[in-house]
Amino acid sequence: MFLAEALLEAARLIAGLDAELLRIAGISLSVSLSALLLSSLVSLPLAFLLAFGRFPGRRLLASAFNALMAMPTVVAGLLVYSLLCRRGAFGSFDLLYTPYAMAAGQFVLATPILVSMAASFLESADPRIKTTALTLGATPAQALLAVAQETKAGLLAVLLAGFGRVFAEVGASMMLGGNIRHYTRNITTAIAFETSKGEFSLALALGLILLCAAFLLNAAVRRLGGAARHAL
Amino acid sequence: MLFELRGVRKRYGERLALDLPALSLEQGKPVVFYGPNGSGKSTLLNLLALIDRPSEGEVRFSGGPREVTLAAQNPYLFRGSVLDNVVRGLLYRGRSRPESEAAALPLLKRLGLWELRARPGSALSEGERRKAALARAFVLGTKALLLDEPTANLDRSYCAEVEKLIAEEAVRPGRTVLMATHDLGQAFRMGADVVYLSEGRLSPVPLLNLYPCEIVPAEGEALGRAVLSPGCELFVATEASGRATVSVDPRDVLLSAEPIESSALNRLKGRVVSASALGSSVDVLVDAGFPLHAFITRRSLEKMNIHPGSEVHATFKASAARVL
Repeated sequence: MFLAEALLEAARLIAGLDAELLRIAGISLSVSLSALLLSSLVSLPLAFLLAFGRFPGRRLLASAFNALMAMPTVVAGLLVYSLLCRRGAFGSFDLLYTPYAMAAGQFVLATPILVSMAASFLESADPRIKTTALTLGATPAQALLAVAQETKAGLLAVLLAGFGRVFAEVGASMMLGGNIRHYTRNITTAIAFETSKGEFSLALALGLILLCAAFLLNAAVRRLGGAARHAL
Repeated sequence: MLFELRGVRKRYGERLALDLPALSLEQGKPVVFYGPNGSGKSTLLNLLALIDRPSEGEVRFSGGPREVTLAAQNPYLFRGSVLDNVVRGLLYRGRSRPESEAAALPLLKRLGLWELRARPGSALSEGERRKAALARAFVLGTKALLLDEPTANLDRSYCAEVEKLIAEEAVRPGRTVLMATHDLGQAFRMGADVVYLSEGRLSPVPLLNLYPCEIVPAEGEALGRAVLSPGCELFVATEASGRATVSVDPRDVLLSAEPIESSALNRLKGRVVSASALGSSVDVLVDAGFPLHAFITRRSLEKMNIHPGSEVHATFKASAARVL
């Protein structure tokens, strides 16, 4: 019976746009979005390089990124932790237990996913896009831009899939953010925390939001069409 | 010279797709690369378009990379409208959008794409797609204009129209049209030089059996009698009639010591005039009331004991005789 009560309370929290709830969701959103944005700035050029570049070690690099896709979130957390802790290389910046540290952890998680998926998607893109652009007088950079323009739906699907992964992760956020209320407490760490306290209603409300976000992302990825599905 | 190829080879894995020890293409002289599918025509055009590099050897082009363009056989149209596609190359050349559109409009009208200019490429028929790709290439006014099978798989009315447009393009000063086709008639109609490709190599042009004649419709559908001279006739699979030139591919002519009973309509008796080696095969010239070349293998030559003066029977189907 208490589950039904908790669900009712969760619905009330969501419907009433509870301040605490919004705060937590906002932190999740801003951390994950910045991680994704920063990662895409690095990942997309890397994906183009892997898909269209010809250099020694290309395959090795591609399989390395592919393997890193499966990196456990706590390992990403550990990696960033070792860099940001007092004795770490960037310890002096005092970034541990900040949203920046969480974003860094999610960046590490997202990058291999974005690189691998975007690269394999670009490799499967119509080879005529590049050759057509080149025959029309495009510079190599313009030709790659044409590929990006023609495949933007697929690339967007890749970004959404990456976002889904970091938005729902808990390990790195917990290790690097520390679940500090109104500062680094995001949806996933709050769920873990509230559940351990026995506060099911807030946890359930957050869980529902997370679930809805996952459904929406998935639906969006599907909607982006055949080309996008091919990448996933 | 517009293009100079030296020792060019192109491999795809193990397969040697192109092997051209030397080929020069002159400025201002239209050339048609003729050959069956898989003969290396597209490979050659990709090398000339500078979008692919030879595995060995050198392709020298007398202009910059923006002075050559290629309209592919199965063109890719970018997202956006026909007009977006046609101005694309001009935008790549740093021209402004309004300036590019102004340059493209007369061409769109000439190619009958004016009404379709706002349509997306996905809403075009196959023929319209091809014309949009041609417009996209024509508008650039490049020194070298490369066309890969511009009329393949198009219906007849489109073919004739596209051929006319290409012919107009070919005579523009400062422009050279180089085109791949598997339709020899097209080469003939364009008045272009023919480079014959077979299995990636330059082959002697099989423009050997060319006969000016008068075609008379024969009984039955799509069949004509080509009258070369009084008493000298060939069956031709065509609906055309009147004055024409008929060609018979020497590879399609069968030689035998005795007459062969077969479905082939053209059965001629003649005498061997000469036999000359031609790569791995032999060019046998037969006097069948008119000169008829037949390519046969060395082995058949030896087996049949053919020598000048021997009597042979030549057989080929009406469909092997083509109206140019």
